[in-house]
Amino acid sequence: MDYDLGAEAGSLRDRLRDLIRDNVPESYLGAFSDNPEDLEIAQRFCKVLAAEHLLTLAWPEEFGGAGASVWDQTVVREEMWAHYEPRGAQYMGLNWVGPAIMRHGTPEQKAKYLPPIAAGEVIWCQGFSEPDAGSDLASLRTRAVPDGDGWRLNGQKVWTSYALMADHCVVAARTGAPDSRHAGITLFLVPMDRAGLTAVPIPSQLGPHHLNELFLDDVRVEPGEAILPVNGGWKVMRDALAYERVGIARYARCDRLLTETRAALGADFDSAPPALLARYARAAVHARTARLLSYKTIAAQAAGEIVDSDAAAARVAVTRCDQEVGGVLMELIGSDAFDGRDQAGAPLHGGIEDHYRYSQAATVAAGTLEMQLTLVARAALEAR
Amino acid sequence: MNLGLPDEAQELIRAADRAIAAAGGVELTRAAELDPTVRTAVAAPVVAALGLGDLDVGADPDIAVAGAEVCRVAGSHAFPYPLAAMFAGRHATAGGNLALVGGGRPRVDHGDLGAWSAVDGSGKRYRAVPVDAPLGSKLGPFVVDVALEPQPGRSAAVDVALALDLVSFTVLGYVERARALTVEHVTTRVQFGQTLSRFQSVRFQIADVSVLERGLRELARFTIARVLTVGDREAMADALALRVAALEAATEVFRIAHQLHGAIGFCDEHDLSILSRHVQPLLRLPLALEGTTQLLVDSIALAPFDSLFSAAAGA
Ligand SMILES: Cc1cc2nc3c(=O)[nH]c(=O)nc-3n(C[C@H](O)[C@H](O)[C@H](O)COP(=O)(O)OP(=O)(O)OC[C@H]3O[C@@H](n4cnc5c(N)ncnc54)[C@H](O)[C@@H]3O)c2cc1C
Repeated sequence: MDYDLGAEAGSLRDRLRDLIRDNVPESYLGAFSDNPEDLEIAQRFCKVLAAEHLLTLAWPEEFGGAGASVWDQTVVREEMWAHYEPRGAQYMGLNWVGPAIMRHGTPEQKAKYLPPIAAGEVIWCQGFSEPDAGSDLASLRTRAVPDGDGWRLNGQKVWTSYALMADHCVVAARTGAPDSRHAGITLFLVPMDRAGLTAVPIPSQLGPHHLNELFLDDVRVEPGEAILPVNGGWKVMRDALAYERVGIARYARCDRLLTETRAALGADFDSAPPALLARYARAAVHARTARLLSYKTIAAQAAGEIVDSDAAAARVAVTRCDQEVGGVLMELIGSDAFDGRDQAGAPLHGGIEDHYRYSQAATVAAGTLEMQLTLVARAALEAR
Repeated sequence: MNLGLPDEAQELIRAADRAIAAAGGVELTRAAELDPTVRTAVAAPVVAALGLGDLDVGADPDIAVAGAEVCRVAGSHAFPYPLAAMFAGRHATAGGNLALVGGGRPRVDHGDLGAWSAVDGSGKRYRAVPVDAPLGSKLGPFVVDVALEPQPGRSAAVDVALALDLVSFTVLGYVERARALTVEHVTTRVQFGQTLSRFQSVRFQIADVSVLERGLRELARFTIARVLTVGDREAMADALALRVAALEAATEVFRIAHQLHGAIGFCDEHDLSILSRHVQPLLRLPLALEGTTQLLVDSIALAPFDSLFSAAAGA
């Protein structure tokens, strides 16, 4: 075992749970609903965390953070995800947009974009995928053409989560030759209210806000809105996706739901078919394994030796566990499985049904299962 | 075993497919989700025009097969109407729909359409009275809470078995359509300069889907062909076995179908999303996989599962 969460982790976890209990209703299932109240809860909670210096715990002190250890950050991510991410869509800004600007931004960009993120005031979304560029992200075609001192963007993005809630979007666009692939992509920081930028929701079984289309029609981008150097976007995108792969502590919600479902079912749990209880027990084992694989990757990251295949292996375990837990718990609640959050008396306020639906996309979002398996296989074969 | 069907039955199956497709196919289901009265205004007349209400699936094996195949066709369109329950009810109760109920809160898919009786695993009979409108939730759009009023008498096991078999055929139809959509998708979607179908791991996943679908189809045909002749206990064990296979296949086929579709498969404008949501009540009511398997285990404990060696072992 090559990690130690440290002495502070337990008390930090308790403190976060207290804050969540005091500020987030038990029935909260995330900010992404048709009820604007949910978004308000998340916005308010971000301010509470900001006031407690917990929002940017992970950020270096020079940018208003607490310079916390990676393990404190891990505790925050676990508690947030376990409780349906009460920071709402803010996590994108906090977790990768902010850090990317710290690392690659100009002093002006840092001064402009970081304080509102640290204060919990803005939402960012991620405009990478396109209709024809999914797994093959490097084939993206949205074009950025120089226009005076700035650029003009034309093209289409898709699956852009939270686009209708967001204030800004990080748009990946082609600045190199059409076939320049990884070497010809630049990232732009585009305000969502910029002329020519239109977001359209896509109704889906995952629920509202998860999927949107983004149309870019001659969108003007100012010189200070590109992350430099031009054509250097791919590295930043890889960091962002690597974050999404390890940074979302899906195993924590699995742990919480496994425990709470059992408690909620009481005697009905004990009388479930033995084969189902066996699946439940195995799912709990898999959640633990997934957590430990994630810790291993986090420890390696902390030591500055990120290994892509470690992160990919952790992600394979985590996303499969996510779906496994969804399947087991839905079966345990029997004919209540159809109840979403709008049905009175739904088990765990609809939290199991919500988890089940969302988990179906776990092996697709932020890089498909097959792409992760490819990385793991390559590493295993090269080790020979 | 001769699984060929008389021309008349073949014609009925083709007619059902054409009529449901002409009424909109999966689009009809989408419309019904927005406005549940579409089920009575559009789906019910399709059923009536085909004369399906007169089909007595318990009358002889050929009719049982024909009815089951019509259920399969309906499933392949996610047809928003309780056809399997209608056939089962026509036979077992001479009218009305027949639902199967398990443990937990009693719920019936489309339980608001027409009169319903219900039967539980032990054969106890009930009248099922809707107590609310359909849930309208993502995974149970037409699921209805019902109150169960006990009725005298018991249902014959073969009636319960037949009802289960018809649902399994409906699930087979969903599986067929999910496979067809996935094959279409991987042969047209291009990533890394090739169609997805060029990648070997994609081909293996398609093959897994195909093996599951083929196996389910053969087991379904085998089961329905003998349901009226094997006797009560065996018909019930057969029906549980078929349901186990149907639930296993559907779970894995829909998982792979979604995986191979990527993000687009979760969008409700794509038929796959409608199918994978609307199949849920069929997979969970009256009991899901482990609950059904437990009943099969109990059944095998009483008498061996029919196999090449069971006669010697059980004699
Ligand atoms: C809930 C959700 C939220 C998302 N949010 C965002 C967002 O905010 N911003 C954003 O930019 N994107 C977002 N995405 C998009 C996501 O990154 C893509 O869905 C993902 O990269 C896969 O692309 P695709 O959906 O086009 O599937 P495809 O790439 O078309 O893949 C379809 C199937 O083919 C397989 N496949 C593809 N290539 C190969 C190969 N070479 N070998 C073997 N198999 C292969 C895949 O593994 C998959 O099973 C989101 C997606 C989801 C589901």
